[in-house]
Amino acid sequence: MAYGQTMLVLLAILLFSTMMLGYYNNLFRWYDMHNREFSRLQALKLAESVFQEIEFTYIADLVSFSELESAWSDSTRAVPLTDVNYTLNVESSWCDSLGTDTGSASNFLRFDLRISCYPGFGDTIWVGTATDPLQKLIADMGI
Amino acid sequence: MVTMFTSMITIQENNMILKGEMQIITELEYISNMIDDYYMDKIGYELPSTTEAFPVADQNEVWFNAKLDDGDNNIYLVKISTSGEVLPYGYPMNIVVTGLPDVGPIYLADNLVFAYFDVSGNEIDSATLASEPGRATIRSIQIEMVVYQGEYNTDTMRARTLVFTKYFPNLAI
Repeated sequence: MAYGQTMLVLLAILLFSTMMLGYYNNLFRWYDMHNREFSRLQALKLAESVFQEIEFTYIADLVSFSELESAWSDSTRAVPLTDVNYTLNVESSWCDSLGTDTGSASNFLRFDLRISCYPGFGDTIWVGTATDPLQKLIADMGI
Repeated sequence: MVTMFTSMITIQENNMILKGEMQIITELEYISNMIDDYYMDKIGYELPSTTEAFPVADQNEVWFNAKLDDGDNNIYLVKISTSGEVLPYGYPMNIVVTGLPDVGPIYLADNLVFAYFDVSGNEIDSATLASEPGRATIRSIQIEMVVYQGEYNTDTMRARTLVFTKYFPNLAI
């Protein structure tokens, strides 16, 4: 095989290898993205259930409005699901109708929720953070 | 050349798996939202006291009387269930509204699993759920659903399990 032909074959192998490396790199990134997407979906479902639970305990008259604040003032719970542990943290704060902290008892309560989980690889996934939590506002309905 | 062709086939196969992953997440979201936000959303709302909210509450099946659409004052008997494994497709999930098929069959990787909780959040056992007074204590349901994509094969298929909970505040008022 002539020198030129050998170089062409080597170049082809090099290009193909680079392409395959790039492809597999992207593939793993996509897998990672789908796993994270699923964990986020599950975390959002858990968030929804916690907000429903808060509302339910108040509507069902299990707790009064002020008790609702103390019950969820700094609540952390672990939910183990399908090999992934989700950690939920809820903090309650007295606020006005726009969700701004009032610092003292008022007619509105804001619940800040953040969920973290570690799917077994990569970084911890956060749904809601300390600075940007998922939020729910409940008004005192006089129940 | 052989390596290149093999690689191309592998790429195609991986693309199919990735596409399946996307579909699993979409399906999980769609089905769970459908049950949560539509069928179960109005359970207990303006339900006559003579009508039982949950005529059947089993591990793989739930029947409930509820309003469905806004502005529609009819109470519908909704049945959500999965029956035994049907080869080669999986476990058929069906939603029946007042005797008529509304959704399904949607083939899942496993039976739907319903767990029922009372007002204090304690799980209600199956013996209690067998009686009407026992079912009257249901205040929330946890639903576990397993969706798969591709060929139904319990050894090789890709499946994901989603767990979600629905509370019924209208039953507590």
